[in-house]
Amino acid sequence: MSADAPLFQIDGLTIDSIRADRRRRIVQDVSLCVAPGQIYGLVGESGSGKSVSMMASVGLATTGLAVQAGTVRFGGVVQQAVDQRGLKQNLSHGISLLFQNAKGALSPFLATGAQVGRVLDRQAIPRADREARISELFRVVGLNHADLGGKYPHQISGGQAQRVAMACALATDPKLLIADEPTTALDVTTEREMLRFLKRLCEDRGLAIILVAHNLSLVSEYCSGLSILHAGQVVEDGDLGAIFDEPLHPYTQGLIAAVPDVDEPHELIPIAGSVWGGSADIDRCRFSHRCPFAMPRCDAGIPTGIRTRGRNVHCVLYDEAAS
Amino acid sequence: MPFPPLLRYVLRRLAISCLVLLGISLIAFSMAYLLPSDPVTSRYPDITNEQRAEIRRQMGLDQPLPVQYARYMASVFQGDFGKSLGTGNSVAEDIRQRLPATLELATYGIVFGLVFGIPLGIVSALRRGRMTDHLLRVFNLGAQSIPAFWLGVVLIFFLYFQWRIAPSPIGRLSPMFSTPPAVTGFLTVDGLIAGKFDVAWAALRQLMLPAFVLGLGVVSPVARITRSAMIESLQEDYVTFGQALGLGFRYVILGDAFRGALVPIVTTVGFIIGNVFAGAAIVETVFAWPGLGRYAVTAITTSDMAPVCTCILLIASTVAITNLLVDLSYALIDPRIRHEYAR
Ligand code: SF4
Repeated sequence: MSADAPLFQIDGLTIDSIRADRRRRIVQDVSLCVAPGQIYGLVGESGSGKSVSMMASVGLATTGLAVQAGTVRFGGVVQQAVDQRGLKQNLSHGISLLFQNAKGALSPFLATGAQVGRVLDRQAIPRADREARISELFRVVGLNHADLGGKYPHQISGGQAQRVAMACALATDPKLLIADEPTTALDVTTEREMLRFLKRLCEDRGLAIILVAHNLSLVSEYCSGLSILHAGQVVEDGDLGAIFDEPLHPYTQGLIAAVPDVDEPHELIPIAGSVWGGSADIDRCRFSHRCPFAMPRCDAGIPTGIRTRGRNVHCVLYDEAAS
Repeated sequence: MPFPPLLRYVLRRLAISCLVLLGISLIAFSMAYLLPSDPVTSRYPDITNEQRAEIRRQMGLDQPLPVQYARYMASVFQGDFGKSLGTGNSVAEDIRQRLPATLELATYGIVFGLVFGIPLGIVSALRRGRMTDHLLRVFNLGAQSIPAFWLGVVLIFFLYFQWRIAPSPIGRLSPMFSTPPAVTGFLTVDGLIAGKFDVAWAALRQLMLPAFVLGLGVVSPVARITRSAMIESLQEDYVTFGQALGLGFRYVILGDAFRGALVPIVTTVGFIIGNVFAGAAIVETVFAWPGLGRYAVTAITTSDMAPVCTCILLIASTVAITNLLVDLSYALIDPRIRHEYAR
């Protein structure tokens, strides 16, 4: 983990989903910490709670979700995650988001130029500069305003839409960009382009990025820090190099063993069994139904994080090693 | 240049509407022809068979149906819709006199319904599942289950007879005032144009109760469709992304989410407009409103076929035009549909 003061820090985030009177803890005590200018990876299978955690950390938990506990620290201010309304204030004041479905994320009713423009309108920009700023933002994301500014989202490609969404996000002048599977809907070439572009943004503007992905090899290429989520629990998090050199958690070991070649994009479903298998009770290692090393102790409680060799690992196997 | 193809679309739709109207005219005319009641007998009950045959011959009623229909349509195309046996005037003249009354009443009723129904639906959707939502839905259910004629009579009883808040239900304007010169046909507007504010105010007071009764029937369906369409559009990714960009209520909720909900809302309003004209007949009867609804009811009950046919045609045309406007408004609302039409 970086020695800098963290830019963004989630601590102990816990979320229940309530559907038809059935309560399920879908995010359990999730913490992560991002330094300024860092690209941080958040990896997990679909349904592991990574998107939900991110949305709740910026005050956009959807109805049917009840945030139970946790704090979010951004720019030195600590807020309770339960106060979703308060967390929303961070949006457009330093935090911006990108979504997987960029075409759906853009308003279908406005030309792309106007969409970037209305984000700018939140800042007091002189009318004369407005057009120039829009063109500039289009240029930054590699688009031509004259060509695309008058087109509607349904008239442009998915890659172009993601770039327009990025221009909207950059118009708020963020310090942190949470990119939730920003390239999953794109083809491989466009995906590479987009990620290289994000990396350059990081370097040029000191922008920190949380890259939410289900593709471990993708994350390994661009990130310096990493959290791995399984069934709403962080199983291992810390320095990417340390984790890749020597994965400690059985789940991480399985994932990394299943990445055949780091240069090949690879889907992340290498381990038998489903994320939410086993009983729905809460206080256990939620990987135990898939874990080759499972023992009675694993079901006795939630494994606490053990700090060792450049990362935290949540597994009873390392209890003694730490103590 | 999306306009010329759009124009083509409009023309095509208009042509189809004309065909539909032609079909409806045929049905309306045949229905009038096939009805068991005889217009001659119901007008002149005490005449001999020879006299009746003579009148029928004069009116062209002895001709076969196709000939009668062709004659009828030929005169319709010249703007002659026949004569009302009840009023003795030409139907065109009768309608010209009564249409503004109904239009004014319906306009106020619909505007009232939209002004209350849409915000109610939006608030309900935003507060879904909470107390406000439940209260609004109960109110809606109530508004929907009150029959218009009953509400009209109750309101007249309390607000006029008991408390004297409302003016007497005797049509569009009390005889104390002289009608302002007709410009729009809306007394409230014509009064303002003529600078006679007391007349405009009096006309508005006359309108209040019937428009309220008519509009209340609009509030609940509009609120209901607004609520459900908004609940759906609020879950769209563009709403979340708009919030993520820190865009305010005006952009995210009214600009995007409401616009996303507008297509089903406009569709429903299009349907409702047909209902409003049907409902106007009841409200006009209760409030002695000199409009088309009452005219049509009287014509039907006295087998006065020329006005009946014309009213059917008029309602069908209104529905056809409304449908066309609804379809065209989709293109205004949603650029995706606009480009679809323009292809
Ligand atoms: S705590 Fe137990 S079940 Fe969970 S990963 Fe470690 S060994 Fe496996």
